[in-house]
Amino acid sequence: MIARKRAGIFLAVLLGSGCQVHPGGARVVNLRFSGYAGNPAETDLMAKLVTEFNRSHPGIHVGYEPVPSQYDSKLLAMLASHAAPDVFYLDAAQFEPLWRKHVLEPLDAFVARSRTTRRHDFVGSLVRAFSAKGHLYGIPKDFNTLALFYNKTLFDRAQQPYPDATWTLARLRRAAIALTRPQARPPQYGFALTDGDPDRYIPIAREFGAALFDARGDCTIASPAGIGALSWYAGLAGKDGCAVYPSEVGSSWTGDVFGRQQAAMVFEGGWLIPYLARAYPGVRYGTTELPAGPAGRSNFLFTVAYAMPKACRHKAAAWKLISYLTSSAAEAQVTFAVPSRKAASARYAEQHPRYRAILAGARYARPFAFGPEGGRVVDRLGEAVQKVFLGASSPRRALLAAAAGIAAIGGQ
Amino acid sequence: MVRKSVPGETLAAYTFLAPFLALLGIFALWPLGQAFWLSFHAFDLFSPPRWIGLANYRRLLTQGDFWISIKNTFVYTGVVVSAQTALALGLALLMDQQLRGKTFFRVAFFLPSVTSSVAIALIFTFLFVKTGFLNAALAWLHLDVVLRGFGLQTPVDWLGNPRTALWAIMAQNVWSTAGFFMIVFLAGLQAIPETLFEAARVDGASRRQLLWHVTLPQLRPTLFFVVTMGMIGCFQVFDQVYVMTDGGPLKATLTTAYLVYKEAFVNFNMGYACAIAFVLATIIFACTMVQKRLLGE
Repeated sequence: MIARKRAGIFLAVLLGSGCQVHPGGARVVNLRFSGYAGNPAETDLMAKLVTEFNRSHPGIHVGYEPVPSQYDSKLLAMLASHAAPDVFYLDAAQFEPLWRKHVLEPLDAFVARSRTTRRHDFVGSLVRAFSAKGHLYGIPKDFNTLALFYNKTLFDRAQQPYPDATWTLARLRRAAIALTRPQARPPQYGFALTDGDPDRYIPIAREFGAALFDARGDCTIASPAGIGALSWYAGLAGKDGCAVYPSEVGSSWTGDVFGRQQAAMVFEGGWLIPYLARAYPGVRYGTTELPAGPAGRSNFLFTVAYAMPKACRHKAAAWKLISYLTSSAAEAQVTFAVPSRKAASARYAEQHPRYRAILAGARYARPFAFGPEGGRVVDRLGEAVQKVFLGASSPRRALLAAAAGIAAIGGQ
Repeated sequence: MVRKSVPGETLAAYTFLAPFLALLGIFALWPLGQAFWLSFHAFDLFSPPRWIGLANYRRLLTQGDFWISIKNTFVYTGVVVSAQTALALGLALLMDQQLRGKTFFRVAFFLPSVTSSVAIALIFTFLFVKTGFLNAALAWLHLDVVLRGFGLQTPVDWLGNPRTALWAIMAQNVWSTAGFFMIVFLAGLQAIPETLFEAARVDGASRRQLLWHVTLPQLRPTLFFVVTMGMIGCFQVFDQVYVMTDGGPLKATLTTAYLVYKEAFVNFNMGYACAIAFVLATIIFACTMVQKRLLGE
């Protein structure tokens, strides 16, 4: 049995890498595999999977090279200098920019031949996030969406009912006001806002009925709905006084403010769950879907896939690694995000009830990706949000400036 | 007397210099030329460079970010160079006296300049947060009244407020570089011959006159070195900005060197980044020449 498996792998490697492997297995195909070093649980699992892969695939040796920071820049530089790893993490936001540069290898042929890695095994929105013109360029790894995290202790103390899936943004605002105790030591707020990033504002704007772009690709964020959403959002910290920025309490992100129990509610992704378990194990909390807005629900899909560069010299071996890392057995060991296979994601939410809200959000979430110049679109919107937060501009003027800036870089 | 060069000696000299010249050529001159060439191209690392003439230079003249960065860089350089030079000179004059524990202070002041700037920037980030040490100390000394007089809300979020962020980085840089320049000044002070002071004292010069008419004029070459090196360092300030603020909030700390990085490695406009870098290099060169005129050599 094992011998047959080995023979199969041997053949695949032989076909994929030409003369690299000689009979007897004297020569080994060396693969490089890289991704960002997100959290320790993830890098540990990756290292373990790679070790197991190397043990069960004698003809291939994979070196795992996690990148501690600036992963996107590093990946682009490596791709440009033809020094890219053979398998790498591809963020949904980077997919379109890289696809347009023609450096990604389409995986359709591999998928067509595979019996274990089939398109319909994976959550549909994830597959779509890495597809263009009918071709698939990445096998989804896992995903996160935003959820409403609430602190049960603070809700109990204020005698407020816990949030649930029926909540609206208006309801959240009322609860946040009721939960705010600015005189407490340390001061306690109903909600916490991210100050420079538009990644909370954009879903809220969509729930208000705003669209980032119209059908022609023009930026329409400065619509009345978009302006109304930003006034509402910034107003939580402004006129309502029921929200706080992380920097106000000497913290760097809203998840940490939540861990310190200085904010009763935050919008965060599933990455907060392992963080709380490690840094603030005593906090009693629950999660539920983001509250709906006047125009319905929205959310962001944060997802990553395994991809290979067009210039990869050992494509068959690289595919072996990709299908190994996305196998049901590998995905069963994930503990830090929702795995990408339909079956695995459902099972995951069963086993980890706090991720149910994350999975529920995926039904209508849209990828955190904004076209080939997405980085700059996000920059402009972040600037607009920050201007309003710092009181340097009105929501209307800030968003008009952002829309003009986005039009200047060519929108989507 | 100038000796005529002997051909054999020249050859020997160049042979000895060859390894260094080769490295200089490969790692400094050639990339420099390449960067200059790229500054006339549109280049995103992926598609081959496309000649666009002076378009990159035209673009930087009309782009708001470039002018913001130039303004920030000049304010930063002006304040930091004056403050660090004055502080370093003052410390050097103090350390030159017969003080008890002189060695301890010399080491203490010098330590920051051998510490990694990234580590220092990280520590200062903690000092500058709203709930941090600086605000606590100011409140304890009742100096927060002064800050409110400037229209700031106390406690101040030093790195998060566009009005204070650049000043916070300046303070950090003055603190970390003054020690090094103090040592340079100290070396300069030791080099002044004692006979000059004696002669002045015989002429009845007071301590203040000694300082103004003997010490400072004799320190001129040192001063030129300190101001020039300080200026070049300031014009290229990058790591503190990168670690502490990312150029924010609202571009309040966007310096030219940081803009070069952002255009090159975030937006991947290599040609445009090269153009900005060359304009920055030209500015530094021009400022150094002006200084050379003013301070002489």
